[in-house]
Amino acid sequence: MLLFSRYTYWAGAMVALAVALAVAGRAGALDPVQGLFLRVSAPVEGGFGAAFGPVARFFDDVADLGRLRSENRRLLGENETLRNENAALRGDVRRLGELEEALGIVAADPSAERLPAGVLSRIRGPLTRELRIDKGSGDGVREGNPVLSVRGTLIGTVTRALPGASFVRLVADSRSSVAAQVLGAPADGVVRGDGASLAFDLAEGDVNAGDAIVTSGLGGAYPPDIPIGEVVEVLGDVQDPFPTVRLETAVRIAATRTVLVMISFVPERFGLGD
Amino acid sequence: MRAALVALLILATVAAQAAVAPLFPVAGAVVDLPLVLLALLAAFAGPLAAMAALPALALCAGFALNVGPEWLIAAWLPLLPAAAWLQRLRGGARPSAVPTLAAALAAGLWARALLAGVAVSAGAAPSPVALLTDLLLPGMLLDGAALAAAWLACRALGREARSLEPDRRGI
Repeated sequence: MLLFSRYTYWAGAMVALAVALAVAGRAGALDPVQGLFLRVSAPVEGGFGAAFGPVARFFDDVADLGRLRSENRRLLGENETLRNENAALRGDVRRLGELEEALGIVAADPSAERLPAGVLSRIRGPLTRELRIDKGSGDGVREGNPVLSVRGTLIGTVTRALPGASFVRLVADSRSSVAAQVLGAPADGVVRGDGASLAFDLAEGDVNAGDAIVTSGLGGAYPPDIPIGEVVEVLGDVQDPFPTVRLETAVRIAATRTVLVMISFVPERFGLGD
Repeated sequence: MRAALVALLILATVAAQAAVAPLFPVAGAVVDLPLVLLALLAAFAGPLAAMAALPALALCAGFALNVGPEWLIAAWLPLLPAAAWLQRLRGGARPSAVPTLAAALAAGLWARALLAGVAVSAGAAPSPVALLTDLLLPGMLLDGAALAAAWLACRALGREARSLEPDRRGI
């Protein structure tokens, strides 16, 4: 009988081991071993990533060809608009700098608060999306630090900081929720991931396709005004007070190799659900 | 020598799961390479090798994927007894590809459902339909394809499948 075979004793031993590992993990006893393992496995992962990355990108590009063509046409138009806006903004920045100088305000250098980190691996589990980066608690990274793309878009939050590496839970992870608002409009809500894409659960106000969504800072988990994405679709009836709002982020995680960790910002109360 | 080879296989599989598997997703699922390795070890190296490899694999994969190793042990635990049970149902002394594949698919389904449950307990709120169509079914497809390809490769290399029952093989 299988029930009385040696599998039974082995399964019992595995359950006992699982309980022991759970206790040791909660107590942090496994952290040094994990740090050592990640140091050993990083070169192997890097080798695999370098070998298979081009193959995956080729398949991605083939699948995306139609979308890339239409996106290219749209971006060409946008590029011209943005160039014009950029020129106007440069003038504004110059004027703002003069005003700040006049008021005696010394603006802190934002780049000093952002630690560049390399992406070691992109982890995809059931409903979960995470990154492992090459900076850890030894570099000043702490749990709760927001993580941005190199252009300043919110990517996620550090949920685990080991001495030489950290794990970042992406905004698209289904466990993530970010208090957010529509830029320049009195509308706010929560951005949630579903493991693949982003949705904006509107709590108050109106939202339209093309609106930019930024962090609101409510709850203290993120600083305000960090770009998250753009509204691409609003589903539901016009009268619907809580429509389904789909977001698109400008960040392509699959192509992201460097991120910025806001090491100067630690949420007032860090929790995994934040 | 054999233990060193298994250790190398574990390290390579975990590294591939972290670095390669996410590059080839189908819907929201990626292949579960450690599960495939366990099934192959059980079939071609004997149940003892797979029984010894499971905790090491769970520990290493847990470290690399930021998942509690205890959950991975629970996720992969049913694979070996299920495969042995299916082999016994067929009445053969050695496993063929079909029962091993069936056991791996069932174990993969269980593993993803369990890990999705862990994510739900941490705040995820997936729709049941999306869970089935974006995660469970594509995951089974990927695991099945990977295991079938690896099984054929092992057979092409001249490896013979062994009995999955530890009572016969000894522990």
